[in-house]
Amino acid sequence: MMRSAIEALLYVVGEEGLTIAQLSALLNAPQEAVQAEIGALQTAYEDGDRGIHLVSLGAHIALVTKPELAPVVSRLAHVPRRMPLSQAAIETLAVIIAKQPITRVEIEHLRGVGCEKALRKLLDKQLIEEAGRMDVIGRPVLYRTTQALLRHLHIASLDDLPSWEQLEHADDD
Amino acid sequence: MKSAQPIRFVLPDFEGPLDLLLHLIEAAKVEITRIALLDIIDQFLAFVRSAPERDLEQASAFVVMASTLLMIKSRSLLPVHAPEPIEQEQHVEDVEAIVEQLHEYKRIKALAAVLAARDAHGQLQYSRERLAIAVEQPTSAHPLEGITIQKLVSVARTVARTAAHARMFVDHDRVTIQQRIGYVRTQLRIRGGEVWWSQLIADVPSRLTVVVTWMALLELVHEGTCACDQQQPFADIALRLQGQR
Repeated sequence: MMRSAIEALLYVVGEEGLTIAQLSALLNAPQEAVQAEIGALQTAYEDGDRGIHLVSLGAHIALVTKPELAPVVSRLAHVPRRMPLSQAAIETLAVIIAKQPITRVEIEHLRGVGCEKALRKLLDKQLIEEAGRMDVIGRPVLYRTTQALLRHLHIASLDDLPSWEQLEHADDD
Repeated sequence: MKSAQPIRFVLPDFEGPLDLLLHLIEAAKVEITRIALLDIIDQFLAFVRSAPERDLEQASAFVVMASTLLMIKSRSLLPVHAPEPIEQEQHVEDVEAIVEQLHEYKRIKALAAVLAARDAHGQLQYSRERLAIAVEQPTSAHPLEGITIQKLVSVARTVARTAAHARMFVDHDRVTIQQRIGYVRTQLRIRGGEVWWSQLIADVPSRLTVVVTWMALLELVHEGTCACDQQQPFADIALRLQGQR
Protein backbone atom coordinates (compact mmCIF):
# COMPACT_ATOMS: atom_id res chain seq x y z
CA MET A 1 0.00 0.00 0.00
CA MET A 2 2.63 2.48 1.02
CA ARG A 3 4.80 1.47 -1.92
CA SER A 4 2.08 2.22 -4.45
CA ALA A 5 1.28 5.49 -2.68
CA ILE A 6 4.91 6.56 -2.94
CA GLU A 7 4.91 5.67 -6.63
CA ALA A 8 1.73 7.70 -7.22
CA LEU A 9 3.06 10.74 -5.38
CA LEU A 10 6.36 10.67 -7.24
CA TYR A 11 4.52 10.31 -10.54
CA VAL A 12 2.36 13.34 -9.88
CA VAL A 13 5.08 15.58 -8.52
CA GLY A 14 7.28 14.94 -11.56
CA GLU A 15 10.77 16.34 -12.13
CA GLU A 16 11.08 18.16 -8.80
CA GLY A 17 10.82 14.97 -6.80
CA LEU A 18 10.03 14.66 -3.10
CA THR A 19 12.24 14.23 -0.06
CA ILE A 20 11.92 11.35 2.37
CA ALA A 21 10.69 13.88 4.94
CA GLN A 22 7.97 15.17 2.58
CA LEU A 23 6.84 11.64 1.71
CA SER A 24 6.84 10.73 5.37
CA ALA A 25 4.58 13.70 6.16
CA LEU A 26 2.26 13.03 3.21
CA LEU A 27 1.89 9.36 4.07
CA ASN A 28 1.85 9.84 7.79
CA ALA A 29 4.52 7.17 8.12
CA PRO A 30 7.93 7.09 9.80
CA GLN A 31 10.88 8.08 7.62
CA GLU A 32 12.61 4.71 8.08
CA ALA A 33 9.55 2.93 6.68
CA VAL A 34 9.41 5.29 3.69
CA GLN A 35 13.11 4.78 3.11
CA ALA A 36 12.69 1.00 3.15
CA GLU A 37 9.75 1.12 0.73
CA ILE A 38 11.71 3.35 -1.64
CA GLY A 39 14.52 0.82 -1.61
CA ALA A 40 12.05 -1.96 -2.42
CA LEU A 41 10.46 0.13 -5.16
CA GLN A 42 13.83 0.81 -6.75
CA THR A 43 14.73 -2.89 -6.64
CA ALA A 44 11.44 -3.70 -8.37
CA TYR A 45 12.16 -1.13 -11.08
CA GLU A 46 15.72 -2.30 -11.67
CA ASP A 47 14.94 -6.03 -11.59
CA GLY A 48 11.71 -5.91 -13.56
CA ASP A 49 11.11 -5.10 -17.18
CA ARG A 50 10.26 -1.50 -16.39
CA GLY A 51 10.75 1.76 -18.29
CA ILE A 52 11.20 4.03 -15.30
CA HIS A 53 13.24 4.03 -12.14
CA LEU A 54 14.10 6.29 -9.22
CA VAL A 55 16.98 8.73 -9.06
CA SER A 56 18.29 10.80 -6.19
CA LEU A 57 18.50 14.51 -6.85
CA GLY A 58 20.24 15.56 -3.69
CA ALA A 59 17.71 15.02 -0.93
CA HIS A 60 14.89 14.65 -3.46
CA ILE A 61 13.83 11.43 -5.13
CA ALA A 62 12.24 11.50 -8.58
CA LEU A 63 10.88 9.15 -11.21
CA VAL A 64 12.73 9.22 -14.53
CA THR A 65 12.92 7.05 -17.62
CA LYS A 66 15.79 4.58 -17.77
CA PRO A 67 18.82 5.83 -19.71
CA GLU A 68 18.81 2.87 -22.11
CA LEU A 69 15.38 3.99 -23.33
CA ALA A 70 16.65 7.42 -24.38
CA PRO A 71 16.60 6.51 -28.10
CA VAL A 72 12.93 5.49 -27.92
CA VAL A 73 11.90 8.48 -25.83
CA SER A 74 13.62 10.90 -28.17
CA ARG A 75 11.52 9.53 -31.03
CA LEU A 76 8.48 10.97 -29.30
CA ALA A 77 9.94 14.36 -28.56
CA HIS A 78 13.24 15.95 -29.35
CA VAL A 79 14.70 17.07 -26.05
CA PRO A 80 17.49 19.57 -26.59
CA ARG A 81 20.71 18.41 -25.00
CA ARG A 82 22.90 20.78 -23.12
CA MET A 83 26.59 20.79 -23.92
CA PRO A 84 28.50 18.34 -21.74
CA LEU A 85 30.96 19.95 -19.35
CA SER A 86 34.47 20.41 -20.76
CA GLN A 87 37.34 18.29 -19.48
CA ALA A 88 38.81 21.37 -17.77
CA ALA A 89 35.50 22.07 -16.01
CA ILE A 90 35.08 18.42 -14.99
CA GLU A 91 38.59 18.22 -13.54
CA THR A 92 38.14 21.50 -11.70
CA LEU A 93 34.87 20.18 -10.30
CA ALA A 94 36.60 16.96 -9.23
CA VAL A 95 39.21 18.94 -7.27
CA ILE A 96 36.55 21.04 -5.55
CA ILE A 97 34.48 17.97 -4.64
CA ALA A 98 37.53 16.29 -3.12
CA LYS A 99 39.17 19.26 -1.41
CA GLN A 100 36.46 21.82 -0.65
CA PRO A 101 36.51 24.51 0.53
CA ILE A 102 39.43 25.39 -1.70
CA THR A 103 40.94 28.46 -3.38
CA ARG A 104 41.63 28.93 -7.07
CA VAL A 105 45.39 28.86 -6.51
CA GLU A 106 45.15 25.52 -4.72
CA ILE A 107 43.03 24.08 -7.53
CA GLU A 108 45.52 25.33 -10.10
CA HIS A 109 48.38 23.75 -8.19
CA LEU A 110 46.60 20.39 -8.17
CA ARG A 111 45.69 20.54 -11.85
CA GLY A 112 48.91 22.18 -12.97
CA VAL A 113 47.07 24.71 -15.15
CA GLY A 114 44.94 27.84 -14.89
CA CYS A 115 41.30 27.28 -13.98
CA GLU A 116 39.71 30.71 -14.21
CA LYS A 117 37.51 29.95 -17.20
CA ALA A 118 36.43 26.58 -15.82
CA LEU A 119 35.58 28.15 -12.44
CA ARG A 120 33.50 30.84 -14.07
CA LYS A 121 31.56 28.27 -16.07
CA LEU A 122 30.88 26.15 -12.97
CA LEU A 123 29.75 29.25 -11.06
CA ASP A 124 27.45 30.23 -13.95
CA LYS A 125 25.86 26.81 -13.88
CA GLN A 126 25.60 27.09 -10.07
CA LEU A 127 27.34 23.75 -9.62
CA ILE A 128 29.74 25.52 -7.25
CA GLU A 129 29.51 28.65 -5.13
CA GLU A 130 31.73 30.93 -3.12
CA ALA A 131 32.21 29.85 0.46
CA GLY A 132 33.73 32.91 2.07
CA ARG A 133 37.39 33.81 2.00
CA MET A 134 40.49 32.15 3.34
CA ASP A 135 42.06 33.95 6.27
CA VAL A 136 45.47 34.53 4.70
CA ILE A 137 47.09 37.48 2.95
CA GLY A 138 45.01 38.52 -0.06
CA ARG A 139 41.96 36.77 1.42
CA PRO A 140 41.37 34.51 -1.60
CA VAL A 141 37.85 33.28 -2.35
CA LEU A 142 37.03 29.73 -1.30
CA TYR A 143 34.80 27.52 -3.43
CA ARG A 144 32.48 24.68 -2.52
CA THR A 145 29.87 22.53 -4.26
CA THR A 146 26.11 23.19 -4.26
CA GLN A 147 22.87 21.25 -3.89
CA ALA A 148 22.32 21.86 -7.60
CA LEU A 149 25.43 19.76 -8.29
CA LEU A 150 23.83 16.74 -6.56
CA ARG A 151 20.74 17.24 -8.73
CA HIS A 152 22.93 17.57 -11.82
CA LEU A 153 24.84 14.36 -11.07
CA HIS A 154 21.74 12.42 -9.95
CA ILE A 155 23.21 11.52 -6.58
CA ALA A 156 21.88 11.78 -3.05
CA SER A 157 25.12 13.09 -1.58
CA LEU A 158 28.79 13.38 -2.43
CA ASP A 159 29.33 10.17 -0.44
CA ASP A 160 27.88 8.36 -3.45
CA LEU A 161 31.04 9.24 -5.38
CA PRO A 162 34.24 7.22 -4.90
CA SER A 163 36.25 8.51 -1.96
CA TRP A 164 39.66 10.11 -2.33
CA GLU A 165 41.19 6.95 -0.85
CA GLN A 166 39.36 4.66 -3.29
CA LEU A 167 40.52 6.79 -6.20
CA GLU A 168 44.16 6.16 -5.33
CA HIS A 169 43.71 2.56 -6.41
CA ALA A 170 41.38 3.31 -9.31
CA ASP A 171 42.48 1.54 -12.46
CA ASP A 172 42.96 3.55 -15.59
CA ASP A 173 40.41 1.65 -17.60
CA MET B 1 41.99 6.05 -26.85
CA LYS B 2 45.61 6.95 -27.25
CA SER B 3 47.61 3.99 -28.51
CA ALA B 4 51.25 3.14 -28.00
CA GLN B 5 52.35 3.89 -31.56
CA PRO B 6 54.10 7.19 -32.06
CA ILE B 7 51.42 9.79 -32.60
CA ARG B 8 52.18 13.47 -32.70
CA PHE B 9 50.29 15.13 -29.91
CA VAL B 10 49.55 18.78 -29.65
CA LEU B 11 49.38 20.69 -26.38
CA PRO B 12 45.60 21.11 -26.45
CA ASP B 13 45.32 17.30 -26.25
CA PHE B 14 46.44 17.59 -22.66
CA GLU B 15 44.87 19.48 -19.82
CA GLY B 16 48.29 20.61 -18.66
CA PRO B 17 51.85 19.49 -17.91
CA LEU B 18 50.69 17.06 -15.20
CA ASP B 19 48.34 15.44 -17.68
CA LEU B 20 51.19 15.03 -20.16
CA LEU B 21 53.60 13.66 -17.53
CA LEU B 22 50.99 11.19 -16.34
CA HIS B 23 50.35 10.11 -19.91
CA LEU B 24 54.06 9.52 -20.54
CA ILE B 25 54.43 7.48 -17.35
CA GLU B 26 51.37 5.42 -18.13
CA ALA B 27 52.53 4.87 -21.71
CA ALA B 28 55.75 3.44 -20.24
CA LYS B 29 53.56 1.16 -18.10
CA VAL B 30 55.38 1.96 -14.86
CA GLU B 31 54.32 3.14 -11.42
CA ILE B 32 54.48 6.81 -10.56
CA THR B 33 57.89 6.99 -8.86
CA ARG B 34 60.97 9.20 -8.80
CA ILE B 35 62.73 6.82 -11.18
CA ALA B 36 59.83 6.87 -13.62
CA LEU B 37 59.73 10.66 -13.52
CA LEU B 38 63.47 10.99 -14.18
CA ASP B 39 63.13 8.58 -17.10
CA ILE B 40 60.53 10.57 -18.97
CA ILE B 41 62.02 14.04 -18.51
CA ASP B 42 63.64 13.91 -21.95
CA GLN B 43 60.39 12.91 -23.62
CA PHE B 44 58.56 15.73 -21.87
CA LEU B 45 61.15 18.31 -22.89
CA ALA B 46 61.19 17.07 -26.48
CA PHE B 47 57.45 17.31 -26.61
CA VAL B 48 57.27 20.84 -25.26
CA ARG B 49 60.06 21.95 -27.61
CA SER B 50 58.26 20.57 -30.66
CA ALA B 51 54.77 21.75 -29.75
CA PRO B 52 53.51 24.87 -31.45
CA GLU B 53 52.61 27.53 -28.91
CA ARG B 54 49.08 28.65 -29.50
CA ASP B 55 47.46 29.22 -26.16
CA LEU B 56 49.98 31.33 -24.27
CA GLU B 57 48.45 30.80 -20.84
CA GLN B 58 48.45 27.04 -21.26
CA ALA B 59 51.88 26.99 -22.87
CA SER B 60 53.35 28.87 -19.93
CA ALA B 61 52.32 26.10 -17.55
CA PHE B 62 54.24 23.63 -19.71
CA VAL B 63 57.29 25.88 -19.82
CA VAL B 64 57.33 26.28 -16.02
CA MET B 65 57.20 22.50 -15.60
CA ALA B 66 59.88 22.06 -18.29
CA SER B 67 62.23 24.39 -16.45
CA THR B 68 61.66 22.60 -13.15
CA LEU B 69 62.34 19.26 -14.82
CA LEU B 70 65.48 20.65 -16.50
CA MET B 71 66.75 21.73 -13.10
CA ILE B 72 66.01 18.30 -11.67
CA LYS B 73 67.69 16.60 -14.57
CA SER B 74 70.83 18.70 -14.42
CA ARG B 75 71.14 18.03 -10.68
CA SER B 76 70.71 14.32 -11.18
CA LEU B 77 73.58 14.32 -13.68
CA LEU B 78 76.03 15.76 -11.18
CA PRO B 79 78.50 13.29 -9.66
CA VAL B 80 76.97 11.78 -6.54
CA HIS B 81 79.80 12.82 -4.21
CA ALA B 82 80.04 16.37 -5.46
CA PRO B 83 76.81 18.17 -4.55
CA GLU B 84 76.50 19.92 -1.27
CA PRO B 85 74.14 18.20 1.16
CA ILE B 86 71.62 21.05 1.09
CA GLU B 87 71.34 20.95 -2.66
CA GLN B 88 70.90 17.20 -2.62
CA GLU B 89 68.07 17.61 -0.13
CA GLN B 90 66.41 20.25 -2.29
CA HIS B 91 66.73 17.97 -5.27
CA VAL B 92 64.91 15.10 -3.56
CA GLU B 93 62.23 17.47 -2.33
CA ASP B 94 61.58 18.85 -5.83
CA VAL B 95 61.25 15.41 -7.32
CA GLU B 96 59.05 14.18 -4.51
CA ALA B 97 56.81 17.22 -4.87
CA ILE B 98 56.13 16.45 -8.53
CA VAL B 99 55.65 12.74 -7.84
CA GLU B 100 53.13 13.66 -5.14
CA GLN B 101 51.38 16.07 -7.54
CA LEU B 102 51.14 13.29 -10.09
CA HIS B 103 49.60 10.91 -7.58
CA GLU B 104 47.01 13.54 -6.69
CA TYR B 105 46.37 14.38 -10.31
CA LYS B 106 45.78 10.73 -11.13
CA ARG B 107 43.00 10.65 -8.54
CA ILE B 108 41.52 13.86 -9.93
CA LYS B 109 41.39 12.30 -13.39
CA ALA B 110 39.75 9.17 -12.00
CA LEU B 111 37.08 11.23 -10.24
CA ALA B 112 36.67 13.41 -13.35
CA ALA B 113 35.95 10.28 -15.40
CA VAL B 114 33.20 9.29 -12.95
CA LEU B 115 31.73 12.81 -13.11
CA ALA B 116 31.86 12.93 -16.91
CA ALA B 117 29.98 9.64 -17.11
CA ARG B 118 27.31 10.90 -14.70
CA ASP B 119 27.10 14.21 -16.56
CA ALA B 120 26.31 12.37 -19.79
CA HIS B 121 24.13 9.77 -18.10
CA GLY B 122 21.78 12.30 -16.51
CA GLN B 123 20.85 13.64 -19.91
CA LEU B 124 19.49 10.30 -21.00
CA GLN B 125 16.89 10.13 -18.25
CA TYR B 126 13.69 12.06 -18.74
CA SER B 127 11.21 13.18 -16.14
CA ARG B 128 7.81 14.79 -16.39
CA GLU B 129 6.91 18.30 -15.45
CA ARG B 130 4.85 18.61 -12.33
CA LEU B 131 1.18 18.02 -13.19
CA ALA B 132 -0.64 21.35 -13.06
CA ILE B 133 -3.53 19.65 -11.34
CA ALA B 134 -1.22 18.56 -8.58
CA VAL B 135 -0.84 22.04 -7.18
CA GLU B 136 -4.43 23.17 -7.30
CA GLN B 137 -6.45 23.18 -4.14
CA PRO B 138 -8.88 20.29 -3.89
CA THR B 139 -12.16 21.46 -5.36
CA SER B 140 -15.35 21.38 -3.37
CA ALA B 141 -17.93 18.71 -4.13
CA HIS B 142 -20.38 21.40 -5.21
CA PRO B 143 -18.78 23.60 -7.84
CA LEU B 144 -21.31 26.40 -7.35
CA GLU B 145 -21.09 26.39 -3.59
CA GLY B 146 -20.83 29.92 -2.23
CA ILE B 147 -21.63 31.54 -5.56
CA THR B 148 -24.56 33.90 -5.34
CA ILE B 149 -26.77 35.05 -8.17
CA GLN B 150 -25.45 38.58 -7.65
CA LYS B 151 -21.91 37.38 -8.17
CA LEU B 152 -22.84 35.55 -11.37
CA VAL B 153 -24.52 38.66 -12.71
CA SER B 154 -21.53 40.80 -11.89
CA VAL B 155 -19.13 38.37 -13.57
CA ALA B 156 -21.39 38.16 -16.62
CA ARG B 157 -21.43 41.97 -16.85
CA THR B 158 -17.65 42.12 -16.73
CA VAL B 159 -17.37 39.51 -19.45
CA ALA B 160 -19.94 41.30 -21.60
CA ARG B 161 -18.15 44.63 -21.19
CA THR B 162 -14.78 43.17 -22.12
CA ALA B 163 -16.29 41.41 -25.10
CA ALA B 164 -17.92 44.62 -26.30
CA HIS B 165 -14.65 46.51 -26.00
CA ALA B 166 -12.84 43.80 -27.92
CA ARG B 167 -15.22 44.06 -30.85
CA MET B 168 -15.09 47.82 -30.95
CA PHE B 169 -11.40 48.36 -30.77
CA VAL B 170 -9.76 45.37 -32.25
CA ASP B 171 -9.00 47.01 -35.59
CA HIS B 172 -7.83 50.29 -34.21
CA ASP B 173 -5.70 48.98 -31.47
CA ARG B 174 -2.23 50.29 -32.07
CA VAL B 175 -0.09 49.82 -29.06
CA THR B 176 3.65 49.57 -28.64
CA ILE B 177 5.73 47.83 -26.01
CA GLN B 178 7.22 51.22 -25.11
CA GLN B 179 3.76 52.62 -24.39
CA ARG B 180 2.88 49.67 -22.21
CA ILE B 181 6.21 49.91 -20.37
CA GLY B 182 5.30 53.51 -19.61
CA TYR B 183 1.87 52.39 -18.44
CA VAL B 184 3.28 49.66 -16.19
CA ARG B 185 5.83 52.08 -14.71
CA THR B 186 3.07 54.57 -13.96
CA GLN B 187 0.94 51.90 -12.32
CA LEU B 188 3.89 50.77 -10.22
CA ARG B 189 4.48 54.34 -9.08
CA ILE B 190 0.85 55.01 -8.27
CA ARG B 191 0.43 51.78 -6.40
CA GLY B 192 3.54 52.10 -4.28
CA GLY B 193 5.90 49.85 -6.22
CA GLU B 194 3.72 46.78 -6.42
CA VAL B 195 0.96 45.84 -8.82
CA TRP B 196 -0.92 42.69 -9.74
CA TRP B 197 -1.01 41.43 -13.30
CA SER B 198 -4.80 41.28 -13.10
CA GLN B 199 -4.82 45.01 -12.27
CA LEU B 200 -2.61 45.80 -15.26
CA ILE B 201 -4.96 44.15 -17.70
CA ALA B 202 -8.22 45.03 -15.96
CA ASP B 203 -9.20 47.71 -18.44
CA VAL B 204 -7.34 46.79 -21.57
CA PRO B 205 -9.51 46.77 -24.65
CA SER B 206 -8.11 43.79 -26.54
CA ARG B 207 -6.15 40.59 -26.40
CA LEU B 208 -3.41 42.24 -28.41
CA THR B 209 -2.94 44.82 -25.69
CA VAL B 210 -2.76 42.05 -23.10
CA VAL B 211 -0.01 40.41 -25.13
CA VAL B 212 1.88 43.67 -25.56
CA THR B 213 1.51 44.41 -21.85
CA TRP B 214 2.94 40.99 -21.12
CA MET B 215 5.90 41.72 -23.41
CA ALA B 216 6.38 45.04 -21.63
CA LEU B 217 6.41 43.21 -18.32
CA LEU B 218 9.00 40.74 -19.61
CA GLU B 219 11.12 43.63 -20.82
CA LEU B 220 10.97 45.31 -17.41
CA VAL B 221 11.98 42.07 -15.71
CA HIS B 222 14.72 41.55 -18.28
CA GLU B 223 16.25 44.97 -17.67
CA GLY B 224 16.04 44.36 -13.93
CA THR B 225 13.55 47.10 -13.15
CA CYS B 226 11.00 44.68 -11.73
CA ALA B 227 10.69 41.19 -10.36
CA CYS B 228 7.74 38.85 -10.72
CA ASP B 229 6.31 36.49 -8.21
CA GLN B 230 3.67 33.84 -8.71
CA GLN B 231 2.67 31.65 -5.81
CA GLN B 232 1.49 28.74 -7.93
CA PRO B 233 0.62 27.96 -11.55
CA PHE B 234 -2.36 29.99 -12.84
CA ALA B 235 -2.33 32.26 -9.81
CA ASP B 236 -2.17 36.02 -10.20
CA ILE B 237 1.30 37.47 -10.75
CA ALA B 238 2.71 40.14 -8.47
CA LEU B 239 5.04 42.65 -10.09
CA ARG B 240 7.26 44.75 -7.89
CA LEU B 241 9.95 47.32 -8.38
CA GLN B 242 13.32 45.78 -7.64
CA GLY B 243 14.81 46.64 -4.32
CA GLN B 244 11.38 46.97 -2.64
CA ARG B 245 9.59 44.37 -0.65
